[in-house]
Amino acid sequence: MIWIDTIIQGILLGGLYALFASGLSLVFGIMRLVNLAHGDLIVMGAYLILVLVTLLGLSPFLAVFVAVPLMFALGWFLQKFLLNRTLGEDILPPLLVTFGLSIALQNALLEGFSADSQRLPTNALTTASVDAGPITLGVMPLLTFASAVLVIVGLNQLFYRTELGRAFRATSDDATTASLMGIKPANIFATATGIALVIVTIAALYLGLRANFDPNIGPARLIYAFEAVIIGGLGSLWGTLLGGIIIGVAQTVGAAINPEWQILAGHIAFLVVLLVRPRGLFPRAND
Amino acid sequence: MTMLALKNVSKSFGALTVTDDASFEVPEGQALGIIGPNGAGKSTLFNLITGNLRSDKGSIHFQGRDVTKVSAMERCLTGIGRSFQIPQPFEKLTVYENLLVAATHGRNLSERDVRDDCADVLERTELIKRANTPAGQLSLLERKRLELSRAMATQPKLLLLDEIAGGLTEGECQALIQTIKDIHAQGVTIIWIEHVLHALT
Repeated sequence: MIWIDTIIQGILLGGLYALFASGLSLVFGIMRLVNLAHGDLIVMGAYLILVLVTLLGLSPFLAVFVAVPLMFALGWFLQKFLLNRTLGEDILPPLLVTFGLSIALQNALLEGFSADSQRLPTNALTTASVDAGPITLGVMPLLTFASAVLVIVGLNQLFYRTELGRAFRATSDDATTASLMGIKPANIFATATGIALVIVTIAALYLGLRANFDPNIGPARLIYAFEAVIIGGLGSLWGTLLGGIIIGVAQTVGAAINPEWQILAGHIAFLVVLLVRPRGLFPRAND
Repeated sequence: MTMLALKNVSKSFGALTVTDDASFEVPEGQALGIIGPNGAGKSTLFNLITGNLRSDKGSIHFQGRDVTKVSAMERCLTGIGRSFQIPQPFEKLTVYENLLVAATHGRNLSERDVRDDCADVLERTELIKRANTPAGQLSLLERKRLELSRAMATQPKLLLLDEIAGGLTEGECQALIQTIKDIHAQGVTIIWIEHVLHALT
């Protein structure tokens, strides 16, 4: 029974990793931009929520609603005035610029909030649990997983059911032809990064409620996100969820065997998938 | 009424003068064919008319209005539509979605306003059965039809066809020509450039 419990905890943890990864996957899918500052943006989102909670006395769940438009605007401007300038034939400039951004963000957070670890305030809801037969599930992990599923369903709806989504796909397919049709790729990319930072904010909420965070944990979140995206196959959002679940289950099973193996087990699972299916579990037909 | 009038239009790329003092008028309802070998400057002429290129000298009037300095986007909104020599559909979007993109952005309308028009265009260009097929899976003739449909989706008064019959077999060419004749019969003025003569006759 302990094993069933371990695996279910892992699956729910996978929801958190899928939230980390969805924004990364969205941006890469639309503009082939690898954002190395993604993990640090999640940590920044957590600090933003913390500040809002402290200043306005809001519950973290309400603070997210204030943080979301701010983060969307940040993403929009970041893409429009910085990252768009790095896009082109050469893949190196975006990597260098986002790597620099990652360092700058970490240091700014360190300067502003010190290296002490922080946590979003918990309440009755965040510590509640429900009994499901022989096992007990925390409400927070369930909420995290449900949010990940909602985000992915929402993104799929956006992509395949809306005009904006069609413009996303057209621009991703061929930005030059899209601009001949009257689409402005620079604005499409800015909107996409804005949406990615909305997802980042949701991820930040659950990151901050689940465990302590400090300015230096961003890069590790980035790696989990990368692994989830690559296991799932680039460009497949449901694949990203499955990738997150695989890492989550590997980590909890590893930790159940020996607490020191938690992180290592996740990385080993990633390497095994790479060996067996180098293009991920659900690769796109082309590119 | 004169649909399009070019007066003394010239365009050079460095020392190479591609369009030299071109003047002609196209009355409304006409179907004008322009023939020339590869490199004669046919596509350049089209790019000048659509505004993708700016002319060095001369003026271009569309429906009596001087559009010489008007952007390509605005010329499209006023009714100049074109097809491209090499079809560039969005491969992962369906045929219908390709048209919706062209129609919503080319006419500055919301999706609800253009849905029916797009379906009508597909009916006329005989692509309606392929409406939900990803464009990447189309045959060459179907791609040409899509290119034609995409230009039609912007509801042009003047339609510029750039070697749209290129690479087609004799039979396919005839089928496409029939479709273009139908479009012309509905009152769209057409300028068609091609380097094979029989398509135009």
